[in-house]
Amino acid sequence: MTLGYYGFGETASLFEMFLRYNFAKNVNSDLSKNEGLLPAIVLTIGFSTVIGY
Amino acid sequence: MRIHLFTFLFLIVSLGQIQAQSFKDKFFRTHGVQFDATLMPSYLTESTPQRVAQYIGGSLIGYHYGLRYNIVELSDNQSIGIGIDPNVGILSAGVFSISETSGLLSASIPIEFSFTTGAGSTYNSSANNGFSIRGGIDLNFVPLFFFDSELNLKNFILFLI
Repeated sequence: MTLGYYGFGETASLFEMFLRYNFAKNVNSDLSKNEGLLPAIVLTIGFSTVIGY
Repeated sequence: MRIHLFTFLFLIVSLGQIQAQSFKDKFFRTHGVQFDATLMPSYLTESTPQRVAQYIGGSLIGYHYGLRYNIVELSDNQSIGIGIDPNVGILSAGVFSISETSGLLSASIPIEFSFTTGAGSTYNSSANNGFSIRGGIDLNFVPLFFFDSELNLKNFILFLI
C-alpha cells in the first residue's frame, strides 16, 4: 500500500503546505476484511510561510 | 544519606520548574485540511484469493491536528523536534477501484522526528518562510470500513443507518 498526502496546515501564525509519503506494503492483504492497524515508515516535507503575527 | 536524598529532590523540583516554564515556548500545534491517495492490492473476491486487483482510494478531503515539541533548538531558526499528526480522511472510497470492495473513511497517526528551519522552527524565528523534513512511523487504518460492492449513495445511506 502506498499513501500520499497533500495537506495544508495552519499554526497560530503560519501557513504550511506539506507532502507526506507513506511506505507501507501489504501485498497479500484481503481488503474484503478490515485488517486494522497497519504500521509504516513515513516521510514528510513541508513549506511554511508567515500569514500573521 | 538524608543529605543526598534532599539534594536529589531539590534537583527534581528545579528541573520541573525549568521544564514548566520552557515547555510552552517549545510546543507547537497545527491543524488543517489534507488530500490523500491510496494505492493497495486487493483480492477481487474472497472466493478467488489468487486474483489480485488494485484498490485505489482517495480522500476527497481530510482533517489533521498536529502537535510538535522542540527537543533541541539549535538556533532561533533551526530546531529538532518530535511530533504527532493524527488525521482523518472524510471519504476513502473505491471510486477508481476495479475490485468489488470499497471503503469509507481513513485514519492515520504519524509519529515523526522533525528538522525545521526558518519560519515555524522556533518562536524566536523572524524568517518569513520555512522548511521542514520529518520522518518516523505511521499507524494506518485505511480504509476504516469496507463495502462488498462499489460505494454508492444507497450503500452509504445504509451504512449510516
